[in-house]
Amino acid sequence: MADTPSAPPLPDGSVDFNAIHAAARQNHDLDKAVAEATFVHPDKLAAEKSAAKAAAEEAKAEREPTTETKPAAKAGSKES
Amino acid sequence: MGLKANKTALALAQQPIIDTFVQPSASTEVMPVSNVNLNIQGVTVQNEEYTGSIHRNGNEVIGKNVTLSFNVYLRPPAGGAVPGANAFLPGRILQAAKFTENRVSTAIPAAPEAIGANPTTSAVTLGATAAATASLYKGLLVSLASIGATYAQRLTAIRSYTAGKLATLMETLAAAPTGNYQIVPQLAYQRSISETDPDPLSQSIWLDGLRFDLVNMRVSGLRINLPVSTRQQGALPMLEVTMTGTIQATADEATPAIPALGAVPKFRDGDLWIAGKAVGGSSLIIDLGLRTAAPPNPNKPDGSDAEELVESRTTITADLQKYRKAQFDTMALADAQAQHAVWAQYGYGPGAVVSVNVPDARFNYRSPNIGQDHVTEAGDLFVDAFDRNVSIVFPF
Repeated sequence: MADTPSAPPLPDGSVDFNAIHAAARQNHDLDKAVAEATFVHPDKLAAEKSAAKAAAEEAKAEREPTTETKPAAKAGSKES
Repeated sequence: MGLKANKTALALAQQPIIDTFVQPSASTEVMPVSNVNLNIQGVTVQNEEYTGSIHRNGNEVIGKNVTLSFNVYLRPPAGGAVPGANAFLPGRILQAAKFTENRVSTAIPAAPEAIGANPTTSAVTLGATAAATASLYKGLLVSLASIGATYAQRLTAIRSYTAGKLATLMETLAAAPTGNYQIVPQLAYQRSISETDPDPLSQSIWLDGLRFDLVNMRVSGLRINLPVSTRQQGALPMLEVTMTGTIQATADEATPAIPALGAVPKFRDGDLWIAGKAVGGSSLIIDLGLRTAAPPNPNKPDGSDAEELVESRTTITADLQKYRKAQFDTMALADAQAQHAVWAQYGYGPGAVVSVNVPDARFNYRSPNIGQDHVTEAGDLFVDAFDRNVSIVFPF
């Protein structure tokens, strides 16, 4: 998308057009430039980070039982 | 002692998280509004049980539906410069109605520079500093040095922009422009057609010492009403807003003082251009045609999730003078169903101009009205779902 010839659609929120313009002048990725130029409320940012952290922990918790069962199975086989 | 209607005030804050009320400041986030109507409508269902007699039990009260409607006179932001992100209070309402707040804080280029080759009366190629990105400047205002003597006269709206830097205008100039151009600093609210829901608002409304706190407030109706001020009569341009949401709490608290923001720019001594023609008329109304709905959810206290925008269908109603066929043939325009620009602009100096534009709209058939001194013509134009299809711009 670095050479995108057309401005990306406008997002929700408040954007710094001068930053988007500077990116367009330098042929940077405009989708990324629009995302970076969009103001995100600190509370929303914190909520998004918290949700991402919770999702990562949940994914980790789902992975952990699988790793724990393998040693247990090995131990069991040795005993028998 | 009764509560006095004049002691009504409204404050609003952006609410980044659904269901989490943000208390608006009663000093810095209170704004002047008019014609406030807080409508608390009880929702009931009939009790169908037999009672063994002709007498029936009263209805079951299910809940309440809350709408808040008000008008905001259309004034540019105070302060003489493009404000910071989300600082312009009416802009928060526009953002909640899916307008993007596009802040051009610094002029492009910093000093006016020469336009490109081969300008015409309807298009101009921007110069070296302009970016070669199609649609980048769509709906924004450009100042062309040769087209007027004053700041406001030099401003014109960009209907479309190509990767070849060709800016097509919404007006037909008297002569092809010469000299310099500059995209002046401006605060532009431009309609986004992205799929996401914008943040709702938290609002507090005071009715002479009684405060209602409203949460998850969505814009369920928005009209940009631009009545023309004439020698005989006048009216003030305004946003007509309806919001729908939930009552968070109530409290007794003195109504805060509302700052006086000065005179409202009047729609006259400006521009009303439709399909490349300067046309006379008495009003221009852009209705965003918003509709919200609340999905059912028994986990919530009132059985519903927060309101969401579910539809928007933009229509322009223009009450215009009737013209002869050779001047402005609206029937032919409706027959052809091509896209045409609609542009209204008024006011004078930097920070005192209001510019509203729709780059593409199609004519419906219009009917002449012969009942008054002059023949007029009322009817609609339809706006399709294009990005940046409505812009409200405040240049500095």
